[in-house]
Amino acid sequence: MDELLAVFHHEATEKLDEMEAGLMALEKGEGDGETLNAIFRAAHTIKGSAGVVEMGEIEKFTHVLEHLLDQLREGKIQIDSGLITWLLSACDHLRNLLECVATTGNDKDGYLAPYGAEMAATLDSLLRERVPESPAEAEPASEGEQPCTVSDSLAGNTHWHVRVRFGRDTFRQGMEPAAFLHRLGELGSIQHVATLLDALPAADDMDPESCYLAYEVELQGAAVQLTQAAIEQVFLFVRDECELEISMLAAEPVVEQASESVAECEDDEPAEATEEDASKGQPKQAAGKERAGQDSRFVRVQADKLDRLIDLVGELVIAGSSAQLLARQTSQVSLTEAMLIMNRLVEDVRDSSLQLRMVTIGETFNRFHRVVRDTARETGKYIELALSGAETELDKSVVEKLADPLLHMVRNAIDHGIEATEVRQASNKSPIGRVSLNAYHESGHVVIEVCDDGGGLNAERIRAKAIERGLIEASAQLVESDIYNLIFEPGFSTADQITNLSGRGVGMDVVKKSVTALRGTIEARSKLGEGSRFILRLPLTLAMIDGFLVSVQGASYVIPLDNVVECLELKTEETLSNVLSLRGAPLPFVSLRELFEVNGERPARQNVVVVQAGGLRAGIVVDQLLGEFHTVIKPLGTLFRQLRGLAGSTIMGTGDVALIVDVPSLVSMAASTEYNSLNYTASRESLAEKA
Amino acid sequence: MTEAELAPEAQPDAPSATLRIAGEMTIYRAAELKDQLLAQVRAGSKLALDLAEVSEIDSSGIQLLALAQREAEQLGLEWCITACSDPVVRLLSAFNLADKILAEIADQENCHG
Repeated sequence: MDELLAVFHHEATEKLDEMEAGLMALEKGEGDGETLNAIFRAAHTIKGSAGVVEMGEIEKFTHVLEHLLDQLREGKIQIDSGLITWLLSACDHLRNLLECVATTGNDKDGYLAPYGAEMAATLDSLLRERVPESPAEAEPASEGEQPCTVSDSLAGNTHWHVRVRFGRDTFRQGMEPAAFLHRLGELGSIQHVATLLDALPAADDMDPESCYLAYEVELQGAAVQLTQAAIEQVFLFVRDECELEISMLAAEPVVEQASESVAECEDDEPAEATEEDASKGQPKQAAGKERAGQDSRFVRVQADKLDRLIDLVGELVIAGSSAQLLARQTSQVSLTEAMLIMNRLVEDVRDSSLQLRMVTIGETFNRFHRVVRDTARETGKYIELALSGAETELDKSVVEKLADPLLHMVRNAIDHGIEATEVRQASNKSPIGRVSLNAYHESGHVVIEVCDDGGGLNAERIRAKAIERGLIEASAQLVESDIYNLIFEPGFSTADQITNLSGRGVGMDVVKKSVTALRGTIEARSKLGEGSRFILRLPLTLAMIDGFLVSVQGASYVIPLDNVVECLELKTEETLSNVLSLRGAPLPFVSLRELFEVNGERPARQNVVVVQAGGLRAGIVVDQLLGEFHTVIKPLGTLFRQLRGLAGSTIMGTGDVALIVDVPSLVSMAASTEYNSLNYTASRESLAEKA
Repeated sequence: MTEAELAPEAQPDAPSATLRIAGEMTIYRAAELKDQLLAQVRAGSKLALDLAEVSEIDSSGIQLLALAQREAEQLGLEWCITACSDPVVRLLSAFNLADKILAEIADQENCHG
């Protein structure tokens, strides 16, 4: 796809999102005339752009949409659920066409074209069923002279007052005032004309070839085409010689340009009335200017340019810390201080550039309204979607990769989680099932929860299925949370019917894989009969890390600072197997030396870094504690990716490589039932004795 | 065919006269038409205008009609347009001057009375 097409694709997709959002609002009864207007404008824009890039199929199809939307917004047809459904399908069809453009560079697809024709035919029959309403009768009093604001605002109309005083030489220049009037009538609908003859001098002084005419026009029309600029354009050829004054009448704030409304002219006609009317027009134009200004506060940047910038910043961070190390070694105070300042600046640059990649999750969340609507219809259930934390920010690439897993989980919740309406009513539950998506920040991570108030996970059935699939031994003792986590194992599905929607158990394990690939964790919690909760934890950024440097046998390791709670010296006399006593409470720990099978003598003094992840705490035993360390994460090569306990690597100032510890997996290792079932009870008793 | 003529039945110095304008009432004849209109207004006590055969009219023509009407009013004369061709009606309507200038178009008796 060349650059022009790429821009078209991006913008058209944005417009489609807008249209869908508007249609969903209308369906809920939340929209109004302005919503319809906005949907129309979005379709109109897509049509126009499609024409520019010569995507004829898209242009043709959007024209059909636009025509329907035009009739809807003018009140000739009433919007209803059937039409909304058709419009949403039309949006889907346009997305398919755009997809075709993205992959093949054009919009001609053997399957899509006849489908488009089919849709047009469906629309015809839909429209025939609905007798178009006759245009709203003008109220007897107004007779079209005054704007009927209610129906007008529904149609997205604007009202303008245009006053023109033509210059004396108008006729001599070959211009005809009536022609401008005619042109205005084409732009909008003329409600009233008042011709002003006050400039006509006394009969003897009147020059029959000079123009003394002026008129005032009240114009009404669709906001899309009747803009101030359009009106000014009409008088383009006489602009310099005439006195033109345009002001908006009704309160519709649809001013698109903030250009001056009064064109000065050479004529010496008294201009008092002019100024008065001009000042009335100003406030509305100021609002327009503000809006235009807001749009220009955003800059469109290519994603890969941003990635390159962040790469560079990462290298800068590494180079900076190595320079700082060298500076410290020179023990030159001024140099060290200068390096401190520089590093602080580098940190700021790092933070700012990482911020650039942050987008709110709200955009992704909003897409789910459509999903929920469609899924609810397909399953015949009533579903309410609650979203919170839409303003929570995460890294752009994380958001993109999360979309599919979240989609699957929401579909799952509706399909398998929420029971059928009758079942719910039988159990005294509200017939409307509730699915909620919630996002928030927590200690350096983003947490996203997908909850439903359906039937919950059935631990017994999961356990039985797992045994059947050979995932666990029949005799294995598992706590509830472990049983729930079995659903993330590949090939697992307890659905009695394999539905079209969620497929054959290819779901949850793929979700988990996606989440793990993002260095996140996923956990399932549930209460039978009441509902389920899936909790995803993801790192805020994939690129950089604030770490705590430790060493084992001279090799450096980085523990993410967000997970670190405290550090202390390891008192061997207070440990039992892999549990130590932390102020009287048991804390399981993992020794990096043992875990990574590091050869060498264990030093006399070891330290423990107490970390927490996912609500659990554990200790990581290391040799030395080396302090805070900000660094760029370099991914582990493919060879090492399967290693448990490691999340990445980084390059230190010295040039040595430090491995980044994967805290969640270490914590779960330490706290896992494997260890506990062996030692837990015994440890508690012994610790209690010792305490 | 581009003349303004006095209706045959009227005499130049009669108190009421019908001025018939035929052909184009455009910028090209504006000067000439102005003189004739004003002369006619100042000559009689009532002025009737017959514009049935005006083939074309532009804003300059409208200006002249307005001028003539105002002059007639200032002189206290009665003024009416007895007949109007379509182009004239159309342009007057566009400017929303039909009511003002075409008063009593159907009431010919007033004009000739």
